[in-house]
Amino acid sequence: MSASNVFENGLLSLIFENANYANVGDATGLRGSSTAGVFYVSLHTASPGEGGSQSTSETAYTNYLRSGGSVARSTAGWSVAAGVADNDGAITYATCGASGATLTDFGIGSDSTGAGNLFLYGALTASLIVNSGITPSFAAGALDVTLD
Amino acid sequence: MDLLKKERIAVSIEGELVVIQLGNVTLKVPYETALQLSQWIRFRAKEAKKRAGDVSRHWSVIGNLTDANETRG
Repeated sequence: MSASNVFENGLLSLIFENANYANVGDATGLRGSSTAGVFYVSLHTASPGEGGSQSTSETAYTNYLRSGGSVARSTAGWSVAAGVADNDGAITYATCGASGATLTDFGIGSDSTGAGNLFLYGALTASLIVNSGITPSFAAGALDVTLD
Repeated sequence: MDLLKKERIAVSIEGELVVIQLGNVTLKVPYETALQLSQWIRFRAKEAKKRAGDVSRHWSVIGNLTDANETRG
């Protein structure tokens, strides 16, 4: 069994854009959240793993705040097309102070602080060594979630 | 060339070109070609996955993190 392209796009749109996925059960289908809220993109120094949380291996470089990685669950925050969801705008974190880190992975979850709920995680295309003066950023479209 | 075992792979950019490293082979292609290639690879990978009997749903998550100071130019 395979998922259709329509299903893949619909599921991504429900999760990232909070758009109803029509015709599942009834015409309205699977409803988006009453409050769309935001996703928080966390940065990690190792993969948090399937059993991990938002704070597993999360970076602690000086000035880092996960809240810097907030992205609205809406079409203003994400675009879904051809089975891919990507970020509409740049996601930029605080500039590193005295103590740095090597960033290798990132996560997408529910909370701005603490363990929260980790939904998705993945590797960076390349590690980024962050030291004083470096400002980590995902440019618009630089973060892709694909469902196949 | 068949790459039946897992090879070291990497993708980077060089100016307006996309540099694809497959083992010892390096390909440099224009970005339009790379975008088209990525769609073809994904399409064929889905077919191959189906033929392999793999019915799992696969979430792929990837991000390109850079120093904002460099991109600001």
